[in-house]
Amino acid sequence: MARTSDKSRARRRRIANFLLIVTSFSLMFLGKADIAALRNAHMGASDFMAPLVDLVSAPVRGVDTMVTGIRTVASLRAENVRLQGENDLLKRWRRRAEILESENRQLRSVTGAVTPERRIPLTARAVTAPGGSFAHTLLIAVGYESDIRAGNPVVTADGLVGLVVEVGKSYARVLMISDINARIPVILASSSWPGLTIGQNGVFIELAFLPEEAKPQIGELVLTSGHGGVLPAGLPVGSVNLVRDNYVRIQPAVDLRSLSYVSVLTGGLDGIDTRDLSLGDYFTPLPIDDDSRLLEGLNAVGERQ
Amino acid sequence: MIRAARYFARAKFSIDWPIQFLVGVTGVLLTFFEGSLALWSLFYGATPLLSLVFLYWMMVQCENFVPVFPVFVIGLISDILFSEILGGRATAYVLAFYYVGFRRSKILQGDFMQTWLDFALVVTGVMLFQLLIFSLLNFAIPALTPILFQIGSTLILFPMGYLLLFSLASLVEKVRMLS
Repeated sequence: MARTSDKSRARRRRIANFLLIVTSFSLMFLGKADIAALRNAHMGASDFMAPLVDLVSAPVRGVDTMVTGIRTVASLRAENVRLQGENDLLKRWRRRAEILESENRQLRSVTGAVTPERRIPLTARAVTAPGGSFAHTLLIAVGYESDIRAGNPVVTADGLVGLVVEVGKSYARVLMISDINARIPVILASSSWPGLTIGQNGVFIELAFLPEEAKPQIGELVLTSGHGGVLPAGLPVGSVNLVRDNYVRIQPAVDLRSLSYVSVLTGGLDGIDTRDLSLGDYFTPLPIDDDSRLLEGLNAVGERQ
Repeated sequence: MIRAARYFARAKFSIDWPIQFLVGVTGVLLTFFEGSLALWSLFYGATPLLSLVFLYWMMVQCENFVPVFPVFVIGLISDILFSEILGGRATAYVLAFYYVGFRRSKILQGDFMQTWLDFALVVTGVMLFQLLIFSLLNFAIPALTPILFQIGSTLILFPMGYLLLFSLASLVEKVRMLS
């Protein structure tokens, strides 16, 4: 009697184990198939877990703040001297920026470039940071209650962090520019050559699909191009860090390892008005050898005399 | 003979499940803690697999208290939390569970170095399995440095976790003896 019971229990356990393995493998393929119901369940689970993670991470944040405080006190005098120097430098830069801003305004009126629709920045706290080697995403403490939508760009004062990919009630998941699945259309700031950044799940990003004629320089700024209309043009993505044969590496403008607060640019998802924009007009670099004077004969308001 | 079997079966059934539940809850909390460690720039993009250290120790030392289902749930929660391939780590943990179950008697007979070496195999296996699945599903190979860092940091933290868990286990045992 007991033997029969043991046997049937063992058989049931074997069947349960087999079903669990089948479920595990099925989940992987269903997850990859990107089924809406599964995606919603995934975001629902994240929404549920985020406050718990936030609670558990409180001591970690506390220790981090304490360590930062000790470091700051230790280097207060040196920091003060450095800040004074930086302040002087910033004053000079501010003056220069004012001049450049005025010049930029004039140039915009000359070229007739379309300014992207205004977006409303919304500050959000980063609840988690990328913890695994296979995905670079972070959870932020704003959701559809705050009018966040998938596709909204996420930035800091330094530049682009990523874009919102999943939105829950009070939390949203951000795909960072360093994720292997992140593809950001960009241009090289000084030469205007278009390209595409590809994350590598590491600290750096690859700049790919550059035209053969493009010669990126070390330190050259890389900005979002605005192609596709999801991201506004002109957000700093990073700067060229390494050029080797056909491989171009970018150092992100934002220090992605220490994100506490980010800004989500809400609105403007209907995209930039593309009716008057075409690739040929705005994203082909000016011919370097051509010495024709494009601005010759133009006055300050852009009218040809 | 029949009586002994009956008594044994009843006693075993009535004692295990609350502890199994506690093991599951502890594993889930450790997974959350893993997620919070990512806030430190040191562990950015590659936190040590603390939940695996805990599960491995439990699977080796207290086999009866670790059924496969909590192992699967802990893996699944880390998949959701880290937004990795859904079921990737869960499957890797389940496979690790069967591997440790298969090797358990040998691990128990060996010294600490052998246990550590065996754990190194488990961690490497878990990460390689995830890498394989990720590469197959995405047709891309991610940066290998964070993966190696994750394996390395987990292995470095293993002796500390092992010692801590042993101390806790002996403390629980002493309390039980006193009561």
